[in-house]
Amino acid sequence: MSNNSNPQNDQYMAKMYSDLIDSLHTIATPDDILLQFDGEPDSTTILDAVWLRIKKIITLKEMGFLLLDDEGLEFNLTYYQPANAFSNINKVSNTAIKEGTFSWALNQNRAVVLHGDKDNMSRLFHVVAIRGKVIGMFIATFDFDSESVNEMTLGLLSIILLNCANTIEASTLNMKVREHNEALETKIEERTRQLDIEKSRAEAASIAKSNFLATMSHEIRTPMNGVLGMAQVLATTTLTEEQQLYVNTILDSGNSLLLVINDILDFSKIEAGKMLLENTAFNLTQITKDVVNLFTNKANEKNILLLFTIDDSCPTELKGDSLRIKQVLQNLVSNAIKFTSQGAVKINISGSKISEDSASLMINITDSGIGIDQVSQESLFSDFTQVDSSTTRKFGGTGLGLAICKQLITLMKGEIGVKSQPDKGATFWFTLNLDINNIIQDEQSANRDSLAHEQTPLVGSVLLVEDNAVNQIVAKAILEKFGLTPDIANDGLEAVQKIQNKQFDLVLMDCQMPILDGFDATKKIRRLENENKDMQYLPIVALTANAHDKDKERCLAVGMDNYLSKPIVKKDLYYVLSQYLTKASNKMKNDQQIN
Amino acid sequence: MAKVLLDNIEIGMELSADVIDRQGRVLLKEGVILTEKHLRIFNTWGVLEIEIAGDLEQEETKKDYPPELIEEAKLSVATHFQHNDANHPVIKNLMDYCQNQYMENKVT
Amino acid sequence: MARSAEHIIKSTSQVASLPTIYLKIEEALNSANCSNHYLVDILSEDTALSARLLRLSNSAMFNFPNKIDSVSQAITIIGTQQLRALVLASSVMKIFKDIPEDLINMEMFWRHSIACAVSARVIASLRRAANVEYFFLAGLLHDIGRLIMFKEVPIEIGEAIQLATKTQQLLFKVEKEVLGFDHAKLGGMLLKDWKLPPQLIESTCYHHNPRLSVDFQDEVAVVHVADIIANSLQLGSSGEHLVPTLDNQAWERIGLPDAIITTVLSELQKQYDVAVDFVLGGSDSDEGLESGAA
Repeated sequence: MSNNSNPQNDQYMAKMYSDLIDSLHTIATPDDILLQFDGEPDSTTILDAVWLRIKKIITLKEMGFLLLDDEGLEFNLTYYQPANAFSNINKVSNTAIKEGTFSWALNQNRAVVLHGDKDNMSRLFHVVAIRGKVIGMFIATFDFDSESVNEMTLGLLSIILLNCANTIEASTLNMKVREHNEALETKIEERTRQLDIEKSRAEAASIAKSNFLATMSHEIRTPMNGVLGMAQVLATTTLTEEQQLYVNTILDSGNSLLLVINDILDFSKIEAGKMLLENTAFNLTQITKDVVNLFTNKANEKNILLLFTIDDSCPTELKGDSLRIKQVLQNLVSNAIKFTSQGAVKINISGSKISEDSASLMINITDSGIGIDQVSQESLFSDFTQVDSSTTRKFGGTGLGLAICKQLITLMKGEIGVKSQPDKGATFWFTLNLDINNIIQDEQSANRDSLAHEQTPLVGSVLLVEDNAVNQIVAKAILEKFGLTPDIANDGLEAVQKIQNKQFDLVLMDCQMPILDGFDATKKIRRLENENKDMQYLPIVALTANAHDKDKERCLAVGMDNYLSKPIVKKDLYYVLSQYLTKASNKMKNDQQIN
Repeated sequence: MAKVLLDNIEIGMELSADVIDRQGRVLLKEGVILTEKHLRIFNTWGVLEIEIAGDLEQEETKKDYPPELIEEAKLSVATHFQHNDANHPVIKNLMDYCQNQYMENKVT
Repeated sequence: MARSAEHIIKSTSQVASLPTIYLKIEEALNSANCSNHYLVDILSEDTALSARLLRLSNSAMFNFPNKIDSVSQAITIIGTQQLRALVLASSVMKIFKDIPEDLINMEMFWRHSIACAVSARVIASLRRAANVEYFFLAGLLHDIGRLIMFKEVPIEIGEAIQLATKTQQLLFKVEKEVLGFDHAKLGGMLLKDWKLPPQLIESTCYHHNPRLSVDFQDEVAVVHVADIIANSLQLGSSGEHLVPTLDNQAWERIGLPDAIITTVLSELQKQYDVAVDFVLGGSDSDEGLESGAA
């Protein structure tokens, strides 16, 4: 009963086969919708393309796509052909829902066909779904005797609708991705804006800090200058023994106070990140000697031996911030002596070259004092601690000393620490890596020191520009000691007027003044000099309460020649003056020669 | 709580359990009061019965099994599944089901 | 004395062959103008089968909302392509006759196979597979290799069963030790001999070792898991007393959430008896043993 040799069968099969090949070619051609519409074609665009394909494979009377709503509960007829098919397809859909055919078709993964007869159209349902998700339902009507709806074409329909489901899903996902990205963009913009605001605030705060420090420095140093300066001047007058004692006490207290103030200002500066380190040439042996000299008397008083050794192999011509290194050394030696009642304080420095240009140093300060227990050692270098509060009363100090040492050494990229046991003394140590100074050091500092003790009077006309009355008195008194009688100007404006009327040899210019400050006054003077060829160059030396290096730069930038910081140290003032004024004996000699 | 067939569902009833479709997806959550729209949804998705709140039938009491029976069931199931990883969620599920079946069969 | 698998298959194929009705349906589906009418005509030659098909289409397996009155409608609901799988399923019992009952209870054997068939079908439909009846058939045929063993090498398989029980090992592993091959491989070879589709061949051959499958990893994974479910629930038995090891990878391949097992088990409960009726229903009468003269 086999049909296999039936020629009609063969013909049929051949036709089926060729139809199948054609259909597969149609379906296998990608339609690029996703690319064309930036990955987000809308449902009408997609369904247009899908319908185009379905049409080529099956002949249908009416068709419609019902898409699932956002909640995933109800289906809405979204796309239909021809234009007047809307109500009929909806009717077919509603009937199917009521009868249960719709829900059944939702769970089938192929076309569900309900055959009609000559009075009724046949109906076709096919779910549109991807593996995990239903997207919609395809419904169509066709003639009951249509041959175009058969197993093969229904199979192809399944493929087309699966592809359709994928495209719709891809489009939805692309849209979600884009929306998500847009939301992210907005968030990022918002955050960036906030960050910018924070940044401005932080910068403003930093500037505010700098200004505060500068102001505080000025506000504190100025009256200090007054007190110490006056006390110094007083000390040089004729005094009774009692008065001498009182003046010395004032000087001692004043100096102690100055030390404390400097500690606090330093600490604040480092905390605010405003401390800048110098990198100039110095001699290690010299600065160590300087520090030791400071304490010789004190050590003798307490009957303690104070000595220092520097290993032969240790390089001594170095570059760094000698002032700060001295400060650390001074602090540690001071502590060592403070807490030792008998025995010795020994400073030992060892070190070696680690390259042609740099050396590594280890500085140890060993004392035979009361020692420090383990627990206290841990908080030694922290801010504001002392071993116990009784120490403060007994030994004095703010407790900032070691904290500042640590800050400074850390800034210099070194390390600092202590080795000690109670009653067995202590060794404070710190390490530094410094550049080696291969150039012969200049003579200046040596000269400066040798000049320190000179008292030869100076000759010349000096203009003192200073707004503060006390400071005026102090400066005038010191200058008179040097044999000078300065003219006074109370502010920058007065100074500019005075120098136009009289030729001075030197101007001592305070920087912080009202009306016209030192910088602006200097600028003005230099401008006048440029305009007026008759005017001689006027040396201007700045007197400033600010210890910032930036100030030094600024002074030089506006045209000042030199720089002194307040409170004024006599020997430094003398040294600077002697560069611009002649010494009395020379002048006399010259005068004699002329005569 | 009672199970009600689709034909007997009326507007105003309150769901006492989530309604899920045949794939396990939640369609409506417990506590929803039924409206006309919901009936249509049940039809669309082929939900045949739902659980509603109410005193239509007595509550099904949770079965309490004697501890020896529970032990026996556990042992039997463990032996049966000895070549499997009891921590795998699928195996765990099957083992729980089998344990319940065992105990049910012994009790009835 | 040990017989090779090839030898066994050779002698099997001499006595076991695909039922005529299946071959007729196959032919019809491949021919011109295969209409519903034609198929109905073929099926009407086997009234028992027609009746069972009708009952099946009205059952929980299809869940059609309306009553189906005619075989023609039943075929529409079932689908013509799927029909062939079901026809073969319904007549599979007749293929294997004279299996010694002391080694295995035939009803129990088929019950296990049916449980596997329904589970496989349910999982496949949850995965939206195109032809779910193929999975039904695959589940039904997965253990036929064992039937062959019971028939052709009863002593060896008997030994294997005893050994497995004593040592609490999985039977298919012991088969390998004792015979050199397991029932999965043997079954696959028979289906190949019958020229059934490769999907069915691989599902049978690799249902204990899904990773060895080459072209049908998804399909094999489904049958592998379905077999484990059937074994877990102890619905019937094909000789295995313990649950075979679940292959994690196979479960991952299936790609359904872990919790879906609950749905599978509940569907299995609903559809199991119906399926048993469909497959075994013909055995309670002599009709169907001679499935119509050619």
